Amino acid sequence: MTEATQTVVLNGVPLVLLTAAYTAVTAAVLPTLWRDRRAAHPLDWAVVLVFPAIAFAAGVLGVLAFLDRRPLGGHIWLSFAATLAASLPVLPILVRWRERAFLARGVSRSLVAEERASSRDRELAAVSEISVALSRARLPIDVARPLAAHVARLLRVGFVGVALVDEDGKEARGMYAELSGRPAAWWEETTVDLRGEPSGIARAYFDEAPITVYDVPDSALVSPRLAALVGARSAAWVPMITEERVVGVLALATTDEPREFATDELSILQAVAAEAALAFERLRSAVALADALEREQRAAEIVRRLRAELDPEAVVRVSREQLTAALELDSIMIDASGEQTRVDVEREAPLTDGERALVEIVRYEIGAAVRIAGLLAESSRQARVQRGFYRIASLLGEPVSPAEAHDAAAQAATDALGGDFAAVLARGAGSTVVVGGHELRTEIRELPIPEALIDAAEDGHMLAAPNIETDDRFGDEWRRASFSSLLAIPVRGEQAELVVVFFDGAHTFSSDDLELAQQVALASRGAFERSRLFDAERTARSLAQQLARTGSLLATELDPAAVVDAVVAEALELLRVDAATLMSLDDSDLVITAAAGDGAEGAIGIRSPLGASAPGSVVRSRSPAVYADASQNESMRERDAFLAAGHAAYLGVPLSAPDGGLYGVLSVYSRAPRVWREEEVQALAALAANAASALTNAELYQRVAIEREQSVAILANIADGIVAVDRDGHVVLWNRSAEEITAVPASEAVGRTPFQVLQRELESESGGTNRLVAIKRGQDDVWLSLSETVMRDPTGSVAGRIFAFRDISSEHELEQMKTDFVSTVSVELRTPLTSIYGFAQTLLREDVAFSDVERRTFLEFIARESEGLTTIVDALLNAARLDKGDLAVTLAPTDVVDVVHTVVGTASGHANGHRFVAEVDGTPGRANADPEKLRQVLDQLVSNAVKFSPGGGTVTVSVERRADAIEIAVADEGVGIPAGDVDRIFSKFTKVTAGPGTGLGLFIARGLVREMGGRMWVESTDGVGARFVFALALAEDV
Amino acid sequence: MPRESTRVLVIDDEAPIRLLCRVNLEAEGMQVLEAADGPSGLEKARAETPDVVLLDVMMPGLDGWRVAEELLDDPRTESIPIVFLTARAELRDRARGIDLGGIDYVTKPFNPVELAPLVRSLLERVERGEREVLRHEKLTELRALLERDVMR
Repeated sequence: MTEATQTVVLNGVPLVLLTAAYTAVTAAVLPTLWRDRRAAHPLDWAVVLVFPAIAFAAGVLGVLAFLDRRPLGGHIWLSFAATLAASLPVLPILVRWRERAFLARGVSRSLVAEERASSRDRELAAVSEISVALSRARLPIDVARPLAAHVARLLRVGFVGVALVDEDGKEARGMYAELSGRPAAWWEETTVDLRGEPSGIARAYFDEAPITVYDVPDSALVSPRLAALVGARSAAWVPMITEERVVGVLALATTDEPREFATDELSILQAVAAEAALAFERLRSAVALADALEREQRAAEIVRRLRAELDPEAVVRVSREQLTAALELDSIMIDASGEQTRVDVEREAPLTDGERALVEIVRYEIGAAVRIAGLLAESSRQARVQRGFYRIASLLGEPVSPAEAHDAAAQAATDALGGDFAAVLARGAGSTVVVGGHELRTEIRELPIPEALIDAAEDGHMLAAPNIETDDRFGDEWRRASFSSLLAIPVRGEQAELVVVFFDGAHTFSSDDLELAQQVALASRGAFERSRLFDAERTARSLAQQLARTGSLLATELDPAAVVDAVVAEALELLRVDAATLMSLDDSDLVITAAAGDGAEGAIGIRSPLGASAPGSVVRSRSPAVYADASQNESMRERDAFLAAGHAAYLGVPLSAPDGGLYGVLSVYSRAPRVWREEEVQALAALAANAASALTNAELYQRVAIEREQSVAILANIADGIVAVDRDGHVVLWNRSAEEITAVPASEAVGRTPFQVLQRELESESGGTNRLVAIKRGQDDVWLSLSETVMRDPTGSVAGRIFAFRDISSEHELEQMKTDFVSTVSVELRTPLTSIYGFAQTLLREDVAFSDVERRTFLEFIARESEGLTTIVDALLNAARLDKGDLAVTLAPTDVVDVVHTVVGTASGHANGHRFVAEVDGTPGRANADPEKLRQVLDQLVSNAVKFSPGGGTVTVSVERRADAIEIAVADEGVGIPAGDVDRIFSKFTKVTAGPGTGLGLFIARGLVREMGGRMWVESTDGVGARFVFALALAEDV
Repeated sequence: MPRESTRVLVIDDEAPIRLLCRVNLEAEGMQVLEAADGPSGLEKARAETPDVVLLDVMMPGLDGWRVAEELLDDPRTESIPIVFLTARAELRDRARGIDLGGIDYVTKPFNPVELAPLVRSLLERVERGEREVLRHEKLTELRALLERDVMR
C-alpha cells in the first residue's frame, strides 16, 4: 500500500469519522440545553460548545489528509493514534446515546440535588431542635412560641399560628401566632367555631390530615376574617394529633406571594405537629394532676381542722372560714342542724368540678363532725355526772376526814349539775358555817349566810333560785354577788349539812336536775356519816398514840423543870389547842410554872388566887373543869390571864401526886369556842397522871443524881483508871485517869463497850486482880495492870463491873528488853563458843590424822574466839559497872590526835574494803580524858562504822577544836540509822539492826564519854551514813 | 547402792564455822561447798544443786530465813533438804525453820563430829521419801517442848 493510500485510510477516514461523531453529539445535546437554558449552568454551556469545536478541527485536518495524501505531520501512525485518542471523549456518549440529554444539564442538576440534600438536613435539624425545645416546655405557651418561630423560619412563611381545640371539639382557640416575625396578639383572642363556620382549622381538625390552599383569597375553604387578618396568599393547616385525637391545629400562610407546599414539607410539618401535640398533651395531664393534688390537699387540710373541733358551732365556723378562704367565695351558708347538712356557696366565677367536689367533701365532714361533737358533749356530761357519783361512792369506803368528804361532795355536786362552784354549809358551834367547797369563792365565806339557806338546811328542803338578782329570799349582798343562780341541796345529816351549787349564769332547774340533786344528797349523807365515824375513831386512836408517846417521853425525862415544859408542850399538841399551862399550888395561890402556845410569853410566874377562877374550880373539885366558851363568864375571865387575853374555851384537869396530894392544874385554852369531847377530857387527864408520876420520878432522880455527882467527883480524881460498865457492858464511867492512860476521852467511851473503845475485852471469866492486859494507845502498846470488880443486884445477877487499872508499860518494856538482851547475849556467846567447842571436838577426832598446819589453824581459831569471848564478857562487865557507877576513869591531859591516829592505823591494818581517814583541824590541843577509855570509845565507833557500811566506803575520824572542847567525830558512808531509832541507839540492850553484837557498844561508849565529863550524839540520814560525835573538855593546862 | 559422794553446801558468814563443817564432813568422805553470805549461797545452790544445805540463820544482809524461802520457791532448788544452823536457842526460832520447810536444825554450839552422821541419816530418810514425815516429827517434838516450856 502506498503512502498516499495509507494516509487516506489511516488519517483521512478516521478524522472524517471523528468530525461526524462530534457533530452528531453537538446536534443532539444543543436543543435540550437550549430548552432548559434558564436552568442551565454556564459550565453546561462550556461543555456542550467544546463538541462543535473539536468537530471543526477534525474536519479541517481530515480534508487536509485527503488533499495532501501525506501523513499528517509526517508520521502516519502517530496521527492515527492521535485521532483515536481524540475519539475517546465522544465514545461514551455515542454508546449511551439515550442519556445524551443529561450532558446538557449535568452541572445544574447536580447543583439542584445538592441544594435539596442540604435543605433536607436543615429541616431535620430544625425538627429535632423543635422537639428538644418542646420537650423542655413547662407551660403550653412554651410549646407554642418556639413551635411558631421554628416553623416560620423553616418554611419561610410570614404567618404561623397555633390553635388548640377544646375537649368536646366545638371550638378552637388561638394560642400563639407569629406574623412577620412578631407575636400576633389578636390571635390569642381568636376563637373558631369548628362546626359553625368554614375554616382551614376546622377542615384539618375533621380530616385529621394536612390541608393546603394555593390561592387563599379565592378559596371557600378558609375563614375570610382570619385570612384577612393574616393577609394570607397560600396557606397550610396541619392537625396536631396525639393518641388519635386532634388537640389543635398548626396554621401557616405566606403573606407575600402564593406558593406550593411540597409533600416533604408537609411531612416535616406533620412530624413537628405531632411533637407539639405530644407536648401539649403532656402539659395538660401534668396540670390536671397538679390541680387534683391541690384539691386533695386543700380538702385534707380543711378536714383536719374540722376534726380538731369538738363543738358543733366551732365545726360550722371553721368550715365556713376554711371554705371561704380556699375557694374565694363571696358567701357561704351552712346549715348543720338538720338530718342532712346543707352547704350553699356563691361565687361570681362558677365553681369547677374539683371545687364542687371539695365543697361536697367538706359538707360530708361537717355532718360527721357535728354528730361526733354532739355525741361527745352528751357523753362527757354523763361522764361528769357519773364521776360525781363515783367520787362520793368511793368516799364511802375511804377513811377520809369530814373536811375531805365535804369538799368531795361539793365537787361531785358541781360536776353532776354542771355548776361553776359549790359550798357545803353545816351547823357548827351554835351557828351555820361554811365547812367545805369546790372552787369556792371567798365571797361565800365573807357574806352572811341567808336565812333562807339556813332554813333549807334545818328543814331539809331543797331550795332552787334560778335568778338570785330578783329573788327576795336573798339579801342585797347575795343579789349583787358574782353568781346568778344556785341550788341548795339539804343532806339531812347529823350537822344539817347543805350542799349549795352556784351557777354564774341564770339557770333553770329541770326535774332531772332536782332528781340528780336528791341523789347527791343521799350519797353525801352516807359519805359524811362515814367520815365522821372514821374521824372519831382516828381522833381516839391518835390521842391514845400521842398519850403513849408522851408517857414514854415523860418517863425518860429526869429534870423536873424539863418535865413541866414537856407536859405543856405535849398538851398543846395532844388536843391541838392554842395554849396550855401548868399551874402549881402554892399556899392558896396558883402559880404558872410552865406555859406554851398563844400568850405563853411572860406568863410564867403569874399568880392567881384560887377564888372563882376556872383552874380554881379544878382544885376545889379535884376533877376536870370543862367550858366550851368561858369568855361569857366575866368573873372567870378576870381571874385567868389566858381567858383575859382572849381565849374562849377552857379545859383543866388536876395534877395529883402519888401520895394523894395535889401538884397543881394542867389547863388548855382555845381561842374559838370549842365543844370538848369526852375522849379529849380523858386524854388530858391521862396526860396529867403521866406528868405527875414523871414529876415524882424526876424529883427522886434529882436527889440520886446529886449523890452520884459526888461519887463521880471522887472517882475522877483517883490516879488509877476507873471504868464502870452497866449490865449490858456499856461504859457509864470513864474517869480522867482512864482518859489519860488510854488517850480516849470519856465523851467517846461512854455508851460503848470497852471492846468497842479499846479493841480489847477488859472483863475476864475469872475476874481477878492485877492481870496484865495490853492495849493500843495510838501506835504504842500500853500495858495495863487491871483489877476487876463485879457488882451484883439483889437477885444476884450482874448489874455492872468496875475496872481499875494502872499503866505499867515502862516496867513491862524494861522487862521485855532484859529478856531480849539475855537472848542476844546468849547468841553472841554461842558464836565464839561454837568455834572453840567445834575445833576442840575436831582435834579430838581419832579417825582423822590432821597435819600440823591444820592443827595449828584450829588452835589459832580456838585462841582467837576465846579472846572474842573475853571482849564480850568485858563489855558486859563494863556495862554493869556503868550502871552501878563504879567504872574507874583516870582523867589526864591527853593528846586526842595521837589516839585517833593509833585507832585509824590499827583499823587500816585490818581493812577489808574500807578506807580510813584521819582529819585533824590544826592543833586541837589536849583533852581532859582517860587515854585507854578514849581509845575504847573510838575503837567502838570505828568498828560500828565498819559494821554498818557493808558496802565498804570511807570512814572518816575528824578532830576539831571548839571554844572549850575538842569534838571528835566518826563518819561513815553506810546504811545510816532510821530516823525513828536515833533516840534509842544509845540505850542499853538496844540493837537497831539484826546481826551480831550485844547492843552494848554505844551504851558503853556514851557511858565512858560521860564518865570523862563529855557528851556524845549522832547525826545521821537513813541510807546515807551516820556521824557519831563526842566532845571532851579541853585539858586545863592548855 | 554405790553413789557419788554426798555434796554439802554450807552457808555461814562465820569463816571458822565453815571450816569446822568442811573439815569434819570431808573427813567422812563428803564434798563441801561454801558460801559466806545469802546471795552467794543461793547462787551456789542453783549452780551446783548440792544434796543438802547447811544454812546459818543469823547472817547480815539476806538472812537464813529468806535464803531458805528463796531456795524453796525456786523449782531448781526446792527439793534440796535444808538443815538450819542457829545460835538462837529459842524454840520459837527452831520451829520457824521447820515451818519454813527445813528438815532439821542444829543448835550452836554443836559437835561437828556428829554433823556427818546426822546429814547421812537425814538424807537416807529423805531418799526414802520421808521428808514430810521428818518435818512432822520435828514439829511435834518442838510442840511438845514448847508446851512443856509454857507449863513451866
